[in-house]
Amino acid sequence: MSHLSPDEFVDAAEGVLDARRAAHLETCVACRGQAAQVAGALSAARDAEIPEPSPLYWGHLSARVRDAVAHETIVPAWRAVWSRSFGTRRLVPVASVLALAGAVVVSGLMVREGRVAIPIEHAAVVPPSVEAGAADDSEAWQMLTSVAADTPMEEAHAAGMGMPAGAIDRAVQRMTPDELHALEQLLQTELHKAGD
Amino acid sequence: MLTRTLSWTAKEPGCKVTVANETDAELVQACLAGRREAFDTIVERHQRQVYQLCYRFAGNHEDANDCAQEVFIRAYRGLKTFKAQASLGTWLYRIGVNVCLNKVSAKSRVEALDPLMAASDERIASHDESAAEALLRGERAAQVRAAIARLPKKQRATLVLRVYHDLPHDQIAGILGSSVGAVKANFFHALNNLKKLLT
Repeated sequence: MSHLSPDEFVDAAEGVLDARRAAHLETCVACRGQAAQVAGALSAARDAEIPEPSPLYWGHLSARVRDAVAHETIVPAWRAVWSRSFGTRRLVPVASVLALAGAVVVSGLMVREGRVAIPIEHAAVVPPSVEAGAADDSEAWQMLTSVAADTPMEEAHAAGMGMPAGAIDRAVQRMTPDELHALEQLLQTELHKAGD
Repeated sequence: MLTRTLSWTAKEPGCKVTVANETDAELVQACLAGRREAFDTIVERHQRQVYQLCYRFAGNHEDANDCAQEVFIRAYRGLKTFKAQASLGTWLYRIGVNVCLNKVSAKSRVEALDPLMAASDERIASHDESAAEALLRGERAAQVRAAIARLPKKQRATLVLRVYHDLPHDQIAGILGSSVGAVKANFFHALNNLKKLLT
């Protein structure tokens, strides 16, 4: 019969070893020696009491905890995670850029699919020669990001830049890998700026 | 301590509620409803267990004190995440183990034979014990505490929770995020190493 495993030595020390294995322990000198060591260590550990602090200590500990949390409110978990990841300072520029970028993407897709006709005078604002790859360098894009960085979400909505629910998700799903990469870089840049 | 009466004003101004009869889950709900006093009761109920857990890890009063305070501060901040089906005590143990594993380094100072500690150990000596016997017992206990404080962290956590807090292996596994088999193996190695450190 095999020697006891670590699990079984623990069971033996705690007095719950299976009867069949206990029979082996009775006859095996090696296992008996090891079991005695484990039991001895357990007994020594059990006997080691810790000093009791002064009776006044407990009141002091309670008071210190009370003082430490006195100015804190318990916030819902989702809000804690949100504020850790996107505190107000970080949220405004990111949300603004996201909202405006989303609006541009959605508008672009709608134009491309022919669902929206751009009046000539407005279409002239964005030169038709601007390509996706050159977007970072274009004046229009520079202006857009500049405005976005200074525009809080509330103002963007008030200015009619709000989007229907799910519009951004649908737009992102239709983006090409290059467009997705560009959007990711843009968001990362803004997050980085906000974290400075 | 537990017979304190609180004046809660959140829902029914002037309503007197004796918190002695409140369960831990009810106290948590009271805290979440904005009744800070309920958290005082949670601290009062669990501070001894939490302090002792921290002391077993740290091996000295100062670190245990810091860790115990940190445990309750983290508990307060994370109260919203507490799941009512779990025991508050076990949840506090989990926080305690994490705080201790992070804060108490291997170089932690262990007051093996601190005079204050020796005096405290004498206090817990039984009346039938002579002063010399009490001193010897106190020294032996200090040696064991020092040896436990030198165990690898997971082994120490397992031994402390099993021996001094009497938690079943499966609960320890839940707290440490491991399997029952791993807990038993850690316990076995902890006892083996303890034996070596004491000889």
